[in-house]
Amino acid sequence: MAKIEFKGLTKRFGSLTAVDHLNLTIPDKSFVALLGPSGCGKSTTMNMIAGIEEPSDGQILFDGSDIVRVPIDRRGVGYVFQNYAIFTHMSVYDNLAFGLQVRGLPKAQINAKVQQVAELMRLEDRLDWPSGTLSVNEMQKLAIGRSAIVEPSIFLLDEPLSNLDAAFREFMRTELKHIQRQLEQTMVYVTHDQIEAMSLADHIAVMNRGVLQQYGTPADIYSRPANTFVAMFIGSPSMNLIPCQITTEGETELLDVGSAGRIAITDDALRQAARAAPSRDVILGVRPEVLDLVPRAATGLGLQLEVDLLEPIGPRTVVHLRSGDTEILAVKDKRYGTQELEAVTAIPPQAACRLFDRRDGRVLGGA
Amino acid sequence: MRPSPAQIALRYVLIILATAIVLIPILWMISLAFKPYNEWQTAATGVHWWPKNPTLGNFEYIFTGQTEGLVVSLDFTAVRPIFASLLTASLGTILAVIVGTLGAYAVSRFKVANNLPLSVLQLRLFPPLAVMIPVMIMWAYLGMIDTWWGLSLIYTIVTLPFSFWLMKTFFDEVPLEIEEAALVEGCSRFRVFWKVTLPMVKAGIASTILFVFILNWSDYLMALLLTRKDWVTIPVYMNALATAMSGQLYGMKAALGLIAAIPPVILGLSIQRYLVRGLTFGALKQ
Repeated sequence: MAKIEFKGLTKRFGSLTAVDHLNLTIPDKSFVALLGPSGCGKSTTMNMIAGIEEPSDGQILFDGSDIVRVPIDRRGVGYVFQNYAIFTHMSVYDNLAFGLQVRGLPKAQINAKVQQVAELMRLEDRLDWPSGTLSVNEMQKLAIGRSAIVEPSIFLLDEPLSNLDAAFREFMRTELKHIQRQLEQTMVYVTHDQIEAMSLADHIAVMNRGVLQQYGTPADIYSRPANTFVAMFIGSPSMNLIPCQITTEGETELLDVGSAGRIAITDDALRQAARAAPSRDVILGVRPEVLDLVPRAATGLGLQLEVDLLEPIGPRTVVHLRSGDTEILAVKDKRYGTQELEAVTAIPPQAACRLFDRRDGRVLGGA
Repeated sequence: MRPSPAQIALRYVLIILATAIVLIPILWMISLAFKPYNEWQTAATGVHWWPKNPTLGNFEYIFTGQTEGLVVSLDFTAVRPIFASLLTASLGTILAVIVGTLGAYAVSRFKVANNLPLSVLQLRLFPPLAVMIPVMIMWAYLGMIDTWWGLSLIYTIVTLPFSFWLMKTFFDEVPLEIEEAALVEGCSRFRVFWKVTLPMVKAGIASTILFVFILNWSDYLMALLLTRKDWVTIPVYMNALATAMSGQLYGMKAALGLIAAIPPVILGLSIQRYLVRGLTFGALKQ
């Protein structure tokens, strides 16, 4: 029904470039999250899809046709605003019926549709309430219902869950996924919460300072970050980024992590990445979850570290490791039996490691 | 901290004092309006608060031109000025609020006419007195002296800055997202204005109408300079309520003042529910 494409999409506000040459294709009926810290251009991108902002440059295509010149009221998108933008001077019913009334549908049809959506959103007993008296959670449901009722082929959600309390947020997260499946829309979702993005989206577009950092499936972005920004932004705790130097000893490449020792590269992909490095200064990226901790061994396979701190977080324990300036986190299960100040060797499984160029943070050796 | 009894007592004294300062002149006017001629002629009976022989004679005199006990009859009653005041003040208010509302919306929502707000304000930078003589000459050339439209027009012009600026602050308070949400739903610009934004500033329109109407209603200067006889308004007429034999007709002036207070009070009461209702309270969760 609606595939969205951005071609060289750019938005400048004075000297500030909010979105910089964005190229992205959002497939039909997919659920895509635009993820990034505040000010990364994700909301501006949404506003350009909806027609609230006009691009400074580039194209937006819905199913192949450029819609940049199409006025806001003709684009047929649904938009749920971060602050809900409820028409507080109207009743809940009138809010829901608004889009249908604009389209001039017959009264009976509007009535039936409003009932149906109200039931879906569990607002059926609130219909004649003044919408200003609803709770935040109900306003949120009303905002989604009001946009969903006209069944737009493109549904935009701008941080819809950020104002909700934790329990209801979990509930709405699953609810949104259901709604999207049911209505079969292309859903674009803006969030700064990586967990929300990971759990909801089919694809995630990570943005920073107006530039697309990476676009891929949640699993892909999680395990194969394209640069150090994505590596830092995704995952909690985030990926360990260990500055190191590439050295060679005979035929073997090694990663020198200063006082923590050296790691001989055994994995082919990692070796290729190391050979592709334009300089010797690189960053080794390894997820805390995959790091193996063993009692101190004298192999050249791991980093010699000391347990600095143990942080039990429910089912798991975050192990803070240190050697000189090098700080590394590992995540182990709850029963992990180690003591603070204990000396351990952390062995990064090399297939799960990424090497980044230390100058621009980009991943080495191709995706 | 809980105030001491002495503090509470002091507060009440101050409140009573403040209330008295506001209310005593009004009470005096009411009392005066119902006093017969010989009672407001203070030289005759001395000052007293309440009329000893309450009478409607003052009202009778300004509406019919004569009353018992007053030899001189009035050849120009208050009926026509009351009508003139009602017409010109209302028309001036309606026009000023319509034009001001549309202009304020444009300036509040579109990046157009960035200098307009200030240049509108410029109309108020001069005291009306400073521009009234040129205006009078212009109006005379245009044949607008002593016409209902001439007076309504100057009321519109003079109160436009108020309605414009008041409405602008009300529109500025309506979040952009509200309108964007309506636009995205497929609403045209005009319909958004009519169905969404305007209802949200209802309270603002109500208070603007009241404010502008009171300004127009109580104008003396402009009506004095721009009318002669046909469209003399209440304040100008009131000033002329005097006779050579009896001097200033205070009782009649008070009666007319009482009547003049009615329209603003009615207007105020009828829009009260909008004045107290919160604006866009709760529309947004920040």
